[in-house]
Amino acid sequence: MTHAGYVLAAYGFAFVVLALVLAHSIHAYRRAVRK
Amino acid sequence: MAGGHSVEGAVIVMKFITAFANPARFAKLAGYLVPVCAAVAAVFTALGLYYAFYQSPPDYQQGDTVRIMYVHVPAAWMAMFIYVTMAAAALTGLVWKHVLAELYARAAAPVGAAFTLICLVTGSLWGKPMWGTWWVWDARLTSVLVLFFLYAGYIALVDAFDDEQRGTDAGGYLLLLGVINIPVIKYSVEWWNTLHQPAGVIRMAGSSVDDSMLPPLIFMAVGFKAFFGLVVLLRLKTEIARRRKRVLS
Repeated sequence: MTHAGYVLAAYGFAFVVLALVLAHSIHAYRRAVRK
Repeated sequence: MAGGHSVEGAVIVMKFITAFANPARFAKLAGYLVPVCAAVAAVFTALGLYYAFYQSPPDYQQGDTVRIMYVHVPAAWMAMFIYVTMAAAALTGLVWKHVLAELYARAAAPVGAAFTLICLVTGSLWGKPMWGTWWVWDARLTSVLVLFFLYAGYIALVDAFDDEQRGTDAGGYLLLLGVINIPVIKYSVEWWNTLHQPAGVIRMAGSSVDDSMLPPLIFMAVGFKAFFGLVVLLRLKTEIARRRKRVLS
């Protein structure tokens, strides 16, 4: 893998994980406040 | 007088702690803070990415690989920061039976675990091209792995009891015991010979990182802090709504 590949893999992994955390939190919140 | 100030300070902190022991008052405040955190997180993370990729120079030795630092280091800061706040909340919960403090530790744990995982994986992706290996069992890497296990252990432990309060208390003791790992992480690079480099930004002698590399680090750190604020507020509101539902049903 090239150096750019390592950089993109690192940023890609980080932001996918953060997006999943945010999506899970929003989903759980919506489910909790649903009547 | 210093003594007078510290007493006033303690009174203010206690007033703050008791004011937000009321979940309804907290939920109202969280309603205002969620959009603010979301905006700050979006703006500062975008700025951080722009500076990380376009405004900061490649390193004279590492080339472009150094750009991994701008996600790896702020994630590591978050991993430790969240753990310390959880331990403080656990202490507040165990001593004063502060409901929100107990809920906070539960809400923050998965986010802390996520940042620790990001720190470990981005570090590994940085280690392969620079050190020639994905992983070494040196003191810094191992102590951060222990931090990840502490988060995972806490998440498993708090839900392992039929009585929720017993789970919360057991988790609180685990958090307090595990806090010893934080100075071990911080000073591991000084106490032992490690492949991992020593601290560059937060150190007594001042930052040793070049000025051109500080803005992306700081922007990303602020963006991550605001992101954490956003997610933890959402998770706290979720937990409060869930408990209210349970009481009413």
